[in-house]
Amino acid sequence: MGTPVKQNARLIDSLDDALSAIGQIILGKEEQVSLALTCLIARGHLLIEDLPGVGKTTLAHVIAHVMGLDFQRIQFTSDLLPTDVLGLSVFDRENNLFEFHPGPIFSNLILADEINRATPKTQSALLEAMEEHQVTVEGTTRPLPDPFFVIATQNPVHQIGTFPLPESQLDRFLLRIHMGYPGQKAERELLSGADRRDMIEQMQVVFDLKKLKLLQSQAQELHVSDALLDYIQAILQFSRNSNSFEFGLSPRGGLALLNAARAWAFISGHDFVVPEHVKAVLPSVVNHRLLAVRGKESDMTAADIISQTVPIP
Amino acid sequence: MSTEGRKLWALLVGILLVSGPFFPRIPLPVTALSLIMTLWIAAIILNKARQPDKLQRIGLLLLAVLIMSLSFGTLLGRDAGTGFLILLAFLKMLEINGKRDMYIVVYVDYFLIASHFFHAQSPWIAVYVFAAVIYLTSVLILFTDKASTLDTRKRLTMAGRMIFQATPLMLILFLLFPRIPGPLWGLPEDAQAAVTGLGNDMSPGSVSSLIQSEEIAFRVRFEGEIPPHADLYWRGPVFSRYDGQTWRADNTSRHIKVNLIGSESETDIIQYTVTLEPHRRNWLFALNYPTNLQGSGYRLTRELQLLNPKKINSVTRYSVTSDRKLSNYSLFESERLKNLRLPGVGYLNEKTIALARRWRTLAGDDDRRVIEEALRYFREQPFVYTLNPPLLGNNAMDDFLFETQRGFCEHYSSAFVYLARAAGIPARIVAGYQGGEKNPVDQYLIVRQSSAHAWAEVWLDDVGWVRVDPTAAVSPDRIESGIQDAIEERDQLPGILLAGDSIFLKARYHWDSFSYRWDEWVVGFNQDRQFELFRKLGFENADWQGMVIGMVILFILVGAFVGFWIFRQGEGIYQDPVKRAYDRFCYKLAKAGIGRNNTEGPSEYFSRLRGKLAPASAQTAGDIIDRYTVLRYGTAGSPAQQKHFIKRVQNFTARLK
Repeated sequence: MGTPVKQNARLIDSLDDALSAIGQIILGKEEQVSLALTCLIARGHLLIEDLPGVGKTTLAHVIAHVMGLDFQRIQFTSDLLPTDVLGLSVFDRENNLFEFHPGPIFSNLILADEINRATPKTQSALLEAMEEHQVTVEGTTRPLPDPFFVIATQNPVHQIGTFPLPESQLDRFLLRIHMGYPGQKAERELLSGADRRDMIEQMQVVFDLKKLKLLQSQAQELHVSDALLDYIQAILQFSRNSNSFEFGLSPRGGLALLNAARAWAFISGHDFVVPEHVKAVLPSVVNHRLLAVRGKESDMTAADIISQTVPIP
Repeated sequence: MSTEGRKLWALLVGILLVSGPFFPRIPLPVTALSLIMTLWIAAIILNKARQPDKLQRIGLLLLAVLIMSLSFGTLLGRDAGTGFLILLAFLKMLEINGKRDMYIVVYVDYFLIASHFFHAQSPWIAVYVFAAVIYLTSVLILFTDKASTLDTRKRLTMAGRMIFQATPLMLILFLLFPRIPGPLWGLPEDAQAAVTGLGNDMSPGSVSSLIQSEEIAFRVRFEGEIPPHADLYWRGPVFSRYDGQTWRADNTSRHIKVNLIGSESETDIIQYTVTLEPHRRNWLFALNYPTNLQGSGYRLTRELQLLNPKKINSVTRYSVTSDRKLSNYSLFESERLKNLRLPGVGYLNEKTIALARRWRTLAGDDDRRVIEEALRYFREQPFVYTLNPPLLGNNAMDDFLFETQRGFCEHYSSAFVYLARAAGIPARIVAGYQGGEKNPVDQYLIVRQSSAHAWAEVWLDDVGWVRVDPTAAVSPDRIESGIQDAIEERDQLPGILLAGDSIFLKARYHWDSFSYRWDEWVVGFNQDRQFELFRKLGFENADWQGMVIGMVILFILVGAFVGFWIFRQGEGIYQDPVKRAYDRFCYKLAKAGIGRNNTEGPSEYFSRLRGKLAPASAQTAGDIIDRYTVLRYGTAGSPAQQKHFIKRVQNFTARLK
């Protein structure tokens, strides 16, 4: 095929190594792992929605380790303040001036655990940082490290005292995935194997920051043909005109779909994007952005409706 | 609600929408059976009842046939036909099984909704029919909307848009489809139910019964000023035979063709166009004397009656030139005798004859004197113009002239004619309409049934037939301004005549103006009108062959336009030869039973395809799909690569055959 493949070949090899390394920890969840990496490569943020204990934190841990990112975990609680996330200035008596103590957000990979338990104020502090890739504290704007990748988790069971993210905020996450329970075989392996945390510690680091940035920019440049853009536009049009959804996809949603499809194609080793790549990321991109109209084919998700209705040009 | 249930409800609403307006018109048992079946169908949809089994269905069908034959005695004709079709549509709904039956019901509905035009052609009906057609189309959309992505409003909008898009074709058909005058397009006989209007004969009460109807007889548009009210004598049937009770038309000289030559002086000529509502008779109405008539087949009889070869069963339009004076006139001897004849013994009215003879002696040879004497008699005796005259005996003229002296125009005209004949002056009765109301909105004349009138004509040797209206002598108001000012019993007149200058009346005039145009341009768009339109467009010799050719050409043009438009829409797809070749590839495979679903990407398609093809073909197909993927989604290949790909597809599809 084209030359880009050869250029990328080494990167792809490393990516495969990373995937299989992560796969040793997160068992039987190849698709979720790939999507998580897709999200990272597409420079987006990831929302994992699932019950506690299905390996959300472990996934964040192992990605941070394998990809060579420094990792911070923020456990969101109802009394968490924005400054607890962003950091604050403390008066330094010795030097007689204010010194900024950066919060946990100044890391490459943030795990924002149970984001829906924090107050909207704290949530929006995080969401703003995600969007801007910088934080402004006490009038000073400070850039966040690059790459900057947030994995937020949300418990889908709406308990008392939680603040589920509104749809408009969900749009800020490039992808949303569900972990789901492990399969029989994976479960057995998990039960009989060693402690995952220890295994991560012993694992080899595959990527470093420089390599990861290269990966991101290479994926960004992946070829997209007019025919594929036609398909994405058809999807956007359908989501806006069809009766199945409360409202259509935003332009940001369209970009999200394109970037995610690109990163997915890149991970799959393609040097161009085909409609199947779009379809592969479709559920993770659109299901949290589109609200299927109630009372209609309730068992079909937005992605199902789209991929079964929109013809491929 | 299940999709199936939704479809059935939509169908039920559709059939009620279509048959509902028929219910007041069809016999009660038919309506009752329809409504019972409606309830049954609703119960079936709600799972409260089961569909009728075979035996029940046969029973229902027999019941339907029984009801039809008891109510109508036939299954043929307009009313029986639509009634039976309604019952059959409901029966079909009862036994719906699958998609095909649903489509059948919708198509029957389409037919039924069109048959509303057999009954009436008013703008209201047209609006209703349009709405129903849009609804039925939305039901068809529901049937094809497999993913249920459209709600009712969206479906209706879509159907409306489709109907709107079809209007150019509708207009082409409306304007160009050959209107063949003749029985082919005629309504079945039972459609010609009785309507109000002048009859074939006249006896006391036959005109005054019309006075109470505000139905429109015809409308007239004049070229130039509307003549004064007193000149507006619309001639209809002529009655010259009298048996002592009833005046009848004499048909003996009908076949003789007459051409009138008018004085042709500018001031005497009146040109106008009449739009006649159907009255189920042959005659047309015109002012004295119709010298020129545009249109085909019309005839003028010796009695100066305008006749249409067929009964007027639909809105008819004709243009007439009338001349106030004639330059040629004559009277055959047989006609003179006919118009002098008095009824036989028992109905002789001796006192009347004596009175007429007295005038004749007084006047000598001067016929005009006699007429003046007669009119003076009517003027000076205490005659009353009334809607409710007392009954008359066998010697009706004697009773009326000397005793009751209360009557309506038919009394006055017949008494006058009787007197004239008794005095030896040929005379006859002319029935028709007198006057009319001007529509201030659109400057045309509305002639209602309430303007029905009868007057007399006498033969004067030096002038010809001369109109004499004895009613004018009794009640000049009737002729000068109209019935509403002339009559005692105003409360028996239709409200419209008494409404005065209210907003209501203005609205009525606006509405009438609209429905007049509707009659002129839509309902009355017949062959003449069609030819007239084409003459105006510059096609002098339009004939129906030309119209068919024109229709075909316009259809091709519209088709070409739509095709071009679709092509433009699809250009994005088809500018890519690779895509075209791939579509052909998929199309050929579809013929082999493994077509591509249009939402399937190439590799999805291949994974489905692989198992179903022979290994060798699968290999080639895989290669083709791989090449396609690279050429279409990768960096577009060189023209040589594209050609190569197309070639491969051709080879593959050739072998597939």
